[in-house]
Amino acid sequence: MDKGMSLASRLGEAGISRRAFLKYCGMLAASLGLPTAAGRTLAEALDAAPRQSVIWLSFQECTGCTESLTRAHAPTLESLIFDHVSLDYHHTLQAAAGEAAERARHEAMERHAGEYLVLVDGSIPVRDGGVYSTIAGVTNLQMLQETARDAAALVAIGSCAAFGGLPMADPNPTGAAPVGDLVRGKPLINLPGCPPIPASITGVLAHYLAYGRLPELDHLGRPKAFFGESIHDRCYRRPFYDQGLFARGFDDEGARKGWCLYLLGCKGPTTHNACAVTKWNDGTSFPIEAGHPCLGCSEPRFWDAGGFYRALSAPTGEPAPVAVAGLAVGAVAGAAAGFRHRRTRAAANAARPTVELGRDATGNEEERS
Amino acid sequence: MNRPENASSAVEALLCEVRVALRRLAEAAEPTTIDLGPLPLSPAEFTALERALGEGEVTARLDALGTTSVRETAVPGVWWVTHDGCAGRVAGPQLEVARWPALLETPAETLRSGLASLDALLDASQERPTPMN
Repeated sequence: MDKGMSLASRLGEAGISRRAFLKYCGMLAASLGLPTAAGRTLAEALDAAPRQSVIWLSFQECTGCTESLTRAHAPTLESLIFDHVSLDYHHTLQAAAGEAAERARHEAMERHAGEYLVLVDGSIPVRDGGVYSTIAGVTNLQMLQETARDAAALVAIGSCAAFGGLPMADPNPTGAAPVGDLVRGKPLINLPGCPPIPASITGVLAHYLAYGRLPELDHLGRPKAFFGESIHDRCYRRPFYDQGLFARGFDDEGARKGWCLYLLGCKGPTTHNACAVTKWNDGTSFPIEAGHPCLGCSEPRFWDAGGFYRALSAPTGEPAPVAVAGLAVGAVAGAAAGFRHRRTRAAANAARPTVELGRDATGNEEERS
Repeated sequence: MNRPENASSAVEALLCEVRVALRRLAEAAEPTTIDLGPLPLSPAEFTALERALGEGEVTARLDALGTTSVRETAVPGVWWVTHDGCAGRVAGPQLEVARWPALLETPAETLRSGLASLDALLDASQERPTPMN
């Protein structure tokens, strides 16, 4: 494939018309929270964008994040962007193996020094010298440090890479840590979720390709376009919450009528993600639409936050029968729930054994527990 | 799926937003797209919005990355744009407030290739030998 070709030319060769490309850019701009007119400028910028070198590192992970992106339904919109990057290393996907695979990574690092993007899925074990996960005889920590050194930016894909995820859950036997704890001095964007929404991955890639920088982030390093609002605020069941109408079991009248799942443990009020907007499985639905509470998988320490089926907090009394009273109950319960949930997560954080490293990613590090 | 009954406030709010956008189009020729996908509208509210805006004279279909349907509403300058197929999961239905929806316009970049293909067609027909009487 000609690496000098523009994205539009490449798409044209694949039988995708200019109008289809403009349509895609318009939708991409909308998903990134950009104004209407940005679709055209995004198209022009992507047209001119060189093919981006990407090195994808997979550490303590389940491959769900890669599956999320690559096994979307065909023809995939995600593939429009994903096919435009030069995926120089991804040991799950690439044909090369062993020494040839590692050689490909080193060649990409040399050829595109200072320009390549590093995508990471999975957390990094650092206890006992990082022996709990190695690739080609190299610990994950060493590989991350080596690859991050000359990267333009890093993207932590999935909750494990962004916040530690399941491997870091109490008692964290491998000393798992997220990318942000180990790499400093480099632009880093967190795309949490278990797995993350494919559109958020391609949206961030497209933004970087078009504008040469990462999009606006929240206090946890997540792009505001996809993580700016809570699941609760965008949930189609929200009107039931406001009216105090809750399911109290998975097979009761409330569940059958599609009422709010708050009392069944839904973490929607304290979880920021785009599931309720973008949805899953080719836009079919999302967990709450399938009748299951949100687990809060895009928030830090969600595994240790007190149980998936435990309500954030129970309302102090029976919901009032009228909407106005229900709204007041809901608002108070929501505020109290948010506070208590944050406190639970903070307690989980305080209780876990810490694993600290002496220096940043560019130096040799030693664990001090 | 059952929904709460008092759902009209969201529809009224959207209609107010459409009115502001239409005024902007009329006075400053500035188009607006209102993306309904992220809004938690119930099917009843969506139907109410469709009913309120009514049906216009123009309907068009675009076959590119799935199907896009364009329908004029009874309010001149207000169009429904809905995506099906793979595009439908990225973008929800939109209300485009414009003289015509941007997707229906021929992209300027394709004019030259259209001209080239027409040139090739006519050149080929001129090179064909004239049938003998």
